[in-house]
Amino acid sequence: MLGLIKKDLFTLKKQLIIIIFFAIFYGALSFAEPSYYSMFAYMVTLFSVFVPMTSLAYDDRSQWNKYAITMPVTRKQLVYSKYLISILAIGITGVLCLALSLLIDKSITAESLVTIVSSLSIGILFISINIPFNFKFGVEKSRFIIIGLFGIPTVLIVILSKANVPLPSEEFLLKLVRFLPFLAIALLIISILISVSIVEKKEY
Amino acid sequence: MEYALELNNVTKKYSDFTLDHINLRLPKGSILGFVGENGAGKSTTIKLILDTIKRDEGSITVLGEDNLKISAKTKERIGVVFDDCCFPEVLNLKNVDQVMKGIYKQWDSSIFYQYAKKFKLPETKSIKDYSRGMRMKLSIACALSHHVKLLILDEATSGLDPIVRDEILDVFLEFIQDETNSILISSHIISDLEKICDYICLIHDGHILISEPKDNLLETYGILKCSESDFTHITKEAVIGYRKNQFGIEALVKKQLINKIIAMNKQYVVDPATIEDIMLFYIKGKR
Repeated sequence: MLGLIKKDLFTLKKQLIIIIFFAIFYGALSFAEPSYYSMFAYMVTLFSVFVPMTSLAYDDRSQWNKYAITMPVTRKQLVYSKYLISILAIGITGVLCLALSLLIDKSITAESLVTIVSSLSIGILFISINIPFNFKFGVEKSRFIIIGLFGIPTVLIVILSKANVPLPSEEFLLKLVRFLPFLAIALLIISILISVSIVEKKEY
Repeated sequence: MEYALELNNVTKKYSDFTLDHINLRLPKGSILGFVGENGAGKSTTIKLILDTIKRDEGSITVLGEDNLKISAKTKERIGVVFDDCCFPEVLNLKNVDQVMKGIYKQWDSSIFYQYAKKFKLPETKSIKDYSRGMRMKLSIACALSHHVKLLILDEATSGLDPIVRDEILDVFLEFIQDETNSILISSHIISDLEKICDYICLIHDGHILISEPKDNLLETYGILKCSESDFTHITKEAVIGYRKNQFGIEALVKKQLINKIIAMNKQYVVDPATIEDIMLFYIKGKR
């Protein structure tokens, strides 16, 4: 397991450097102009969710999984290591966001906490949906599936607004944000279970 | 006899291909060469042994354990080389050492770096800048650096130049000096296998045609050369396959069955058969 994580870290080294660079850039920006803070939180989370995607793409291209299961590595560990690296990336993002919030406001405000929690939750939701598709169909194919999948809400919103359905109130949205972390964790657990069953059955 | 690898009636069905009741035995201390054309079922068999694909029927025992319930401890004892290097290509030699150290308890960095030195693998170049030969050498170095008892090599020498292949075959011969070690090697470069193997197994279209000690094969079979009219006097039982050319007939024959007729008639010439001849006549020769 440790070997798998190490392999991912080595693979992602270059990408991590780029992410740190962007984090510093957006961090400086929102330090100068605090209203950009939420943009910082969402941007950094966005970068972090692409971390596991990159490592999955490298695995696919080199047929690493086929090789790894001939080693003292179980199929379950292959799956767990991917989620671990994802959660690690999102976790680091969370720490970065908190640190910046402390730097700007000298304390953690309710507003920034909502921003952090919601962006991290969305990050976890994203990887929870994404990773099983990647294990099932490979990175190339699932890229299109994911794009299609994320198109659905957009289309729905367009249709609903055309049909003159009133948009939900801000109060309702804030309530939704409160439930977001729980939703994210539930989906993450389901996602892990699905990925394990996909990989256990998969023929490499 | 103790076997490093035992396959009984192993079957795998695909819509367009069936690996049909494969039986295979690799005695400890020996090298088994697995030959056949592309698509004959060599890689499928090896994947079944390694459980990267699921079998439909039969049983497979690897180093004494059922391959579906194989323990991590036994997996440490198996070194695998596929036909390409399966590390993400941004890694370098040092990274590979670190990663493998985290995966194999028995990983031995000093052995790994010895092989790296022997194979002249650069320490800081990433794998994507390696030549094909270097990539295969890296895979082989990895397979040998955790005190393995069984090497499973799927087309490990194909695509390499003769010099590199020779170097690698020497490494395998060195490995087999320890009598508890065994190798299963698949290849369509038959001359390589003829050099090092103790046993040859010929697979064609999902079926095993021959599985015998190499020396037996070379002793049993010969290439008979004669005219078409003389060929009619040869008992059909002795002929595995034949082909016509402008000088007459060339046939793969069982030498023992035609000893008498050859001793009496000088127009028959029997040359030794190579493994390649045997494979070609078995698969492509007319009967």
